[in-house]
Amino acid sequence: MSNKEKISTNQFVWMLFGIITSFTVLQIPGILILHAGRDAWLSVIVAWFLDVLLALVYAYMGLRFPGQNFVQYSMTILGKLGGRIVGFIFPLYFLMVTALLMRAISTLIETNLSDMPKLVIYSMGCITIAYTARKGIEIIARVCEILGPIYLISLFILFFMAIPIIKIDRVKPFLMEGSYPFLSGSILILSFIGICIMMAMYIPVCNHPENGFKAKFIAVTMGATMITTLIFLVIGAFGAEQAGSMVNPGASLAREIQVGIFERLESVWLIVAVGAGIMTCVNLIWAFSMGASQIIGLNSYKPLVLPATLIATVLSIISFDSNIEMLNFVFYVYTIIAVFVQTGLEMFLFAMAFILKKGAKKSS
Amino acid sequence: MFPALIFISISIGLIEGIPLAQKKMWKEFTTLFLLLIISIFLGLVKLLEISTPFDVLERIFGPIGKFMFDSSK
Repeated sequence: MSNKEKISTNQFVWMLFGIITSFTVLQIPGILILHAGRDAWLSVIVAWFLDVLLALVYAYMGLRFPGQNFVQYSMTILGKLGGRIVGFIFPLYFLMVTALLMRAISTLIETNLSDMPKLVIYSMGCITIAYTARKGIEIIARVCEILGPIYLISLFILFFMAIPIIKIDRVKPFLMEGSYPFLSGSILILSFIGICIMMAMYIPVCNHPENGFKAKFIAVTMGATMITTLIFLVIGAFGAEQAGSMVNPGASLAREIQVGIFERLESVWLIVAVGAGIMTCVNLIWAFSMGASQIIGLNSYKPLVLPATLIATVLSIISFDSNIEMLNFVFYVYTIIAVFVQTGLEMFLFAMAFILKKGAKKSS
Repeated sequence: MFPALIFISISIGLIEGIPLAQKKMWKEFTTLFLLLIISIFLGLVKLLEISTPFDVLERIFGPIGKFMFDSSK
């Protein structure tokens, strides 16, 4: 399948930033605080470091196999059958993340707009996701290039306005329960910010593939800074116990803010968070369709977009009876699967490329 | 939900399937219908009260996650 679409390094950064921040901000702060308590923000710093190390491997593999994403170089390294089996795990993982994210977005909307029927939420989301994903990666990149800075600025404004309600005593003392909670919490958060393994899908379509590591480093640093600040402020505003019981602490923080006569500013947060979440779903559906079509050997990924969106929607509706059930899945199951796919599979491919001597040799 | 799912699946099948059949892209045509059948089957899972894919994943990976994250408590 030939792909003539190209994205710039700048677009690459904003796409990754949107993916990391929206998925993590919508799902993780509550459960991370519940697990690691006051030290939750330290987990993000450890996870950032581990993710940057992982980015080196992904960037190297992108250069060792020029013009190929991880689905394609799986087949180059392991042969057609083995490569197809290993390579198909990546698109399946993206489909699972889409289903989880769609559920998180619908939960966020239902919490804030309780009269809105579920059917309307899901159908609007699906139509937007499928329509944008079918337009191709260049259109997705342009939308992310516009939406990314808006998301970043809105987070900055939220943080700035939340400062007056912060009580620094609620964040102290550090490491009261030892280092295990925040270190195991770092695996939890790594599984979320590690979703930017999507970089392996972007490197072949980037006009400067050698900038893959730089783009990921900038995106993950911005994303981790935003998540650390959000967790720090949420703990400072509500205390670790109360924040740990919240489904979406970011929206609760926005609800607390008042500027003059303006109240209920969480609706602004809602619009931006849902927009970024939907764009992440678009990226994931594009990645699933592209990966699956390359494995099957199709001429175009586009026929797979609509059914893939439908499958993700059905999965997000049928899989969990309550939000608690979904949070339990995310905490105990998703983390293990994500670490296995993001780290285990890629390291396996990395090792096999060396052992089997596959890919372009680096020139001195 | 199930009747809506059937209606959407048929609509997608017609919208995507007819142009693919006209262009004789049979591989794409088969994959499209396979994915639509999977989505209908997933819709049936709830009605037939059988395990969803996420339930299966929970049974496999859940004990590892519980061991890892609950061992400090």
